[in-house]
Amino acid sequence: MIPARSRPRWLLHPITAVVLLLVIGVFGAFVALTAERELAVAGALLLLVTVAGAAAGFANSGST
Amino acid sequence: MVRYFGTGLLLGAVLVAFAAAALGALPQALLPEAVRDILFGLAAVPVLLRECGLLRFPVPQNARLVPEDVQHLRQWGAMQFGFEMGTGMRTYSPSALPHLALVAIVFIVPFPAAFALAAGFALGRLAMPLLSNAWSDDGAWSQVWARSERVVRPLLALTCVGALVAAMLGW
Repeated sequence: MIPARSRPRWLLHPITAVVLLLVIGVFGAFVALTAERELAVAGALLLLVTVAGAAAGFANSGST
Repeated sequence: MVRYFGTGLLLGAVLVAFAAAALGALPQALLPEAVRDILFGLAAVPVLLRECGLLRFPVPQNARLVPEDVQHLRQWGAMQFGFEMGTGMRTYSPSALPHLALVAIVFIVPFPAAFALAAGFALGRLAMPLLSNAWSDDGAWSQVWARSERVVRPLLALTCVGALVAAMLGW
């Protein structure tokens, strides 16, 4: 019998998820404030509000 | 089952975002941008301090625990439960960030972007059961969450407020 491969737990850690959100947010802010093409700015702004929403949703994880 | 729960989350969040955006149409049309930015800032600073543990104040919440039989729901039950959770009005709200997101929709976020914020909220809320289920079957992820809360909460607040402020500057 082949033993089950252990999952890399750090990927599932809340801090990993938060750092990922933070990095995406920094990227979105950088693009929003430096890009010259309107489409890129609009996309970055949508990404920023999505990240803000995700942070708000994830912050409620302790509610159940 | 997760698909139905996630769809419900999205629908609930979108409904609340739509209501808040409709409500926000008036202040966004009547108030100058600077005034709206200040109003948002007046809400964001105390929320940031609260999430960092420097300030304590209650936020509106439905102070009810999720019943245990929820885990035995079938598809439509999971969607209905997800919908209720997506509205943010189903159970306790340990964080004030969802409330700040609503304030942002009312004062600074343009109408179409409110739906992106709602989708983000649903995604963030969905992350918890996904990560928890992948972690283990015994709900141990909640203990990991509780142990890392002191780091996670301020970082999430910083991410949420920072992203909203950066978007505010970009608009």
